[in-house]
Order: sequence, then structure tokens, then C-alpha cells
Amino acid sequence: MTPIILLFFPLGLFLLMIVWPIIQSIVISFYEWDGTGPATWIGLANYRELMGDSQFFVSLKNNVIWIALFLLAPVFGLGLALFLNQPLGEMRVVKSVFFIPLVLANVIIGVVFTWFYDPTFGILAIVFRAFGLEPIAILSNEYLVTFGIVIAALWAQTAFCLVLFLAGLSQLDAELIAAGRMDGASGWKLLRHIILPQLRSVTFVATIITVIGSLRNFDLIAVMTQGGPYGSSTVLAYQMYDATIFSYRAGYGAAIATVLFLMMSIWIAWFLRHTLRRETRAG
Amino acid sequence: MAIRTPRASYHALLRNIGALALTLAVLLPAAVPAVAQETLVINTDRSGAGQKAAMNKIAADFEAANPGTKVTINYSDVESYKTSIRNFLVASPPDLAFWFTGARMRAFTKRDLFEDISDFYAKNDLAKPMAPFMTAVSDGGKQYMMPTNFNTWGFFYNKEVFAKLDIQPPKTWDELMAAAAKIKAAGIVPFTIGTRDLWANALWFDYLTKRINGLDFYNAIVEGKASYTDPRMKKVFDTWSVPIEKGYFLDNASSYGWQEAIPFLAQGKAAMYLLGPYVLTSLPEDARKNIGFFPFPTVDPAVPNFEQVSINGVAIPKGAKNKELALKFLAFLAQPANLNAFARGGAVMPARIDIEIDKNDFASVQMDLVRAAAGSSQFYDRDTDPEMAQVGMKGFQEFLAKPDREDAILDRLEAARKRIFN
Repeated sequence: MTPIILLFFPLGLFLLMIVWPIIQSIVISFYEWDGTGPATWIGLANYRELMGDSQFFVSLKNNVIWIALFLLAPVFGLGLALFLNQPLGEMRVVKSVFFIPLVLANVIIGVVFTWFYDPTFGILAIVFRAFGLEPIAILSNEYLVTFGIVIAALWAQTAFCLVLFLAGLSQLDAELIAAGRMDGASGWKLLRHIILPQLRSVTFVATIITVIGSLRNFDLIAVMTQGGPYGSSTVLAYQMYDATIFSYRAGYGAAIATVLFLMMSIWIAWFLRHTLRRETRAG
Repeated sequence: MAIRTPRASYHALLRNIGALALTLAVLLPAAVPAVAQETLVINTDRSGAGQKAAMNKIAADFEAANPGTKVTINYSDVESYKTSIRNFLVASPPDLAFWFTGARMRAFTKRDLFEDISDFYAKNDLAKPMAPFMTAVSDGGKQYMMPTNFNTWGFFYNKEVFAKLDIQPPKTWDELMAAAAKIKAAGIVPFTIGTRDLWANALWFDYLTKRINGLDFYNAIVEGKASYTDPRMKKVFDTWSVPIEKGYFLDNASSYGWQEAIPFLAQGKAAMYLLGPYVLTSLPEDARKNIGFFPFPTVDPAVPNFEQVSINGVAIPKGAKNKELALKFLAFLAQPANLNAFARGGAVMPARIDIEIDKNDFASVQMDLVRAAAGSSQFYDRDTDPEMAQVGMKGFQEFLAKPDREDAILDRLEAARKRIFN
């Protein structure tokens, strides 16, 4: 009896705050609704419109770019962690420098990078001019703009992965490494066969969180370009906001949210499967 | 001594507190009935320094005139207010909410979020002084907002640049193009503009549409009754493409917000900016002196000079808790002196025609422009459906960057119009 009572509160909260809004959004996506007035049932019309919406495919393409490039964050994070994981007193200072992006809010990172990219007054423009080149307006170029924003996001995400990997490295089994060395492993071999296998679970978490982070990214886009120029840096999360808030189309926004939810669910399902399997193995 | 002094002041403090408590004890029984603390909550996006100061003073005067009331003002910047208003009108409505009139207001009245205040005008003798603005605040013959101020739009120019190149403020489109060519040849950007937040660019669309095809056609377009692929619309875009293709606009305009484009003008790196009086309020006093104004030039002599007059106002949300007090505050704000102070804080015009305007002020320039206009509309994103406005302004942003995509853009706008207005 006690477990049921104890479960009641967290489970109730979970159902109320997480599950119910999800169901609600999915239901709304079958309606034509402006967010406040009466809603009309239109079945799958929102989804059908989505399939013919060129902006939707631009967003989808950008989401793919985001995921692909964002996966560099765990790679860079691991590289930096290996480099910083040295028992030197001075390293503490260097480490904290690399942590800094993690302390900043995404909105601030967005503003700083916007200034950095500013084609007239920005540092990037000044560097370009110093080399006698015409500055590139990254945030006004429909082909480069997404990459420009991803770089800003990577800067923060790399720091996040770095922290995870540093924690992972501190948990390494020293005996295993010593044994490996005794057997003549060093350098790349030691990393590949002794250290990386022990970091597997950290790598897994870093990858999953990075992928989900890339899918839900919104704040940097809102601050740096507002989805522009002319929608070319929009991702699904931003398009959902744009449709709901500026175009007064909550139903259409909910349909986009549902698609995004399905995409994320694939990753989350994989994540759960992986962790559950490991837990049964451990138990 | 070092120890005694704080001691002494500590005692003094205690004595003062004692006295204060005594005073309160004496006063309180009498004060309680009067201090039936009523709070008036105002949400506003008029957060520029001048207008904020004016608003704070009006609120303080209102509190003084109505003992027992407290006015709480939540200031917010213009762009984020646009996204938050829909939430707070439903979730936690204030007693008064500042907003745009026209289609932007009707988007809310249609959803029954604003209180009908039609009686308010007769009761406070405001129907006459506010008469020209009544259409903008009406929906189905009822009034839902009180107009507070209006402003006109036009070219703000750098006087130094114009003097150096010996250019007079252009009166016709051809003169404007000639001036731009001269400015460009001198290595200065003729037109600065920031399109990241989309709307500043719509001014070019609005003016060219009205000045080439007349106000009726513009109204047909924003009401979704005329086609974006109409030859008349093509003519607008063809005319607009000339200065774009000649490189008269600031490069990479979408990298800048509308405010971020102002420094180019102030620093003399650019010569003109088609915008509202916000150019002036965004600049410090001494930089302001170097900025001149001329109205949008005549494009087709056969078409009268239709103007762009945008009216702002304030509404009582349906869910407001203190509607009586809100009406009282509206009447207070509407008093000529208050409305004038409020508008002038933002370099805009008070929405009353019976207020005397100083001839030397920029406000009188705006007033003359309105008086001389053959007719006016507000602004693309206040005149048309919000969704159409969003699609349209994105198209204008693209057109400014890629004028060669004119046909594709117009086809896209037409498809959106058919879907939205069917």
C-alpha cells in the first residue's frame, strides 16, 4: 500500500504536467484554432497542409543540419576533456575558462554572436577587412545562416559535453589503465581500447542530450535571426512558435509540435531501451 | 566618540520610529475607510525613456487625485510585447493594455478579448476631439479602444550629408532616385534599413502601393480582395526593384534590427531612413539636431499623396478586474495636457485634434502632413490579417535581398492570400 501512496504524488504530477499537455497538443493539431476563440475540427488538414508547406521542408532540412553538426559537440568535448585532464594546478584555471559558455544563458550567447557576426561593426568583419577581404554577412546569407547559428550553439554545447567527459575521466579505473600500460598499450591504442570503452555510458548520455538539444533549439534562432532571412534559418521549433504566436494558428503550430515530438520520441525510445537494458544487466 | 555617535543616532532612530508608530496609530482608524486600496494594473510597450517618464508622472498624478488607488505599470519592449499580449489577455488580464488600432485590434475584438467602451466617448465629451480616429478603434460600429497618439512616417535624413553633397529634400520619386545616385557616388549608403524584425521594410511597400495605385487598391490588397499577381502589384515591385538593384539600400539589411540601422544614419554612413519619429527618440539630443525630415515624395503626379498614419491606443481587456477604475484612468489620460505630455514623450502626436501644437516642433510637421493628405492607411501589419502580414513581410524581406525572385515571391503571397482570405 505504501508504495502506491508514495508513487501517487510524482506520478500524478507527471501525468498532469507532462502527459496531459502532450495529449492536449496532439488533439489541438486536429483543429483549426486561433488560440482563444472557438476551435473547429478539421481532421488531418493541418498535416496535409504541412506536407505542401515549403517552409516546413526548409525547417526539416535545417533540423537535419543541426543534428549532424551538433554531434561534433561530443567529439570536441571529448578531445578537450582528454587535453584538460592533466594533474596540473594551472589546469584548473584553463578548465574554468572552458566552462564559461556553460554559465552563460543561451540568449546572451546569441546576442554576443550576433555582434560578432555584424557585417559592419563586428569582430569577424574587422578580421576580414584586415586581410583585405569583403566581410561576409553570415546572418543575412540564406545558405550560411544556419551554420552561423549552429557554431554559436556548438560553442556552448561543447562546454557541456566537456564537463560530462571530465567527470567520466575522473571515474576511470586506474588499475585497468596500469594493466593496459603493462601490456604495452600507449597513446592511441590505450585511448581506443582502455579509456573509450569505460567512457561509453558518458558518451551515450552526451550524444542523446546533444541530439535532443539540437531538436529543441529555439532561443538562439529567436535572438539571432528570428528565423530569417525570409525563413531560411527556421527550424521546426521556431516555425511552431511563429505559426502559433504571429500567425494566430495554434492548430497548425500544434501539428508541427506533434511532428517534432515524434522525431524526439525516436531518440528517447532508443535512450530508454538502452538504459533499461543496461539496468537489467546490472541488476 | 566613534562609538557614541552611532549610539546617539540609534536612539534618535528609535524615537523616530516611536513617533511614526504613534502617528500611524492616530491616523489609521481614520485612514482605513479611505484606503480601500484599489490597484490599477497597466501593461504597456511604450517603454522609451520619454514616454515612460510621462506615463509615470500621469500615474502619480492620478494616484494623488484619487487617494487609495495604486497604479502598477508593467513596461515591456515593443517586440516582446507583441508576443506576450496574447498570453496575458487570456491568462492574467491587466486593467488596461496598450496596443495598436486597426486590424491588430480587431484580431482581439473578434476573439472577444477587449471590452466595448462605446459609451465612454459620449460620457467624457471625447467623440468630437477624437473623431478622426474613431474608424481605427471601431469594429462593427462599436469602439473598443481609446486612441492615445498617432504618428506619420517619412524620410529622416542626415542634414550634414545633404548639405555636403548639395542635395535638397526630394519632392518626386525621380528626384529621390537622382539624390540616391549622387549619394551612392560619394560612397555613402543612400537608404539605411534594418529588416530583421521585418516591419520597417513594409513602409516601402505601403507607400509605393498607395502612391502608384491609389488608396482603394491598397485597401483591396490588405483586405484580401485584390491579387498579389495583379499587374498593378507588379508595377509596385518593378518600381521598388530599381533602387534595390542599383544598390541604394544598406547591404545585408536582414542582419540588423530596425534600431540597429539608425547609427548608420546618425554617423553619416547612410543618408536616409524611411521610418517614423522613433528615429528621433532613439538618438541622443545632440545627434537629433542633425536629422531632418521630408515626406515620401510623389511617385505618380496623377495619384494624390496618400499618407501613412498609424494610430496607437489603449484597451480594457475583457477579463480586467477593475474596469470602473480603468475607465476613470482613461478619462484622466485623455485630458489634453496629459495626452499631450504622453504623446510628446515619444515624439508622436496626441490623438486629439483640439490640442495646440508648437510650430517649431516636429509634431507640427506631422500634423501638416496629415492635414494635407488625400487619405491614409495605417501600416501593412495593422491593416491586413496578422498571418498575411507575417507571410507578406517575409516576402518583402526576401525581395530586398533578392529582387530577381519577384515573381516567385508574388506567387507565394498570392497563394497565402487565397488560403487566408477564402
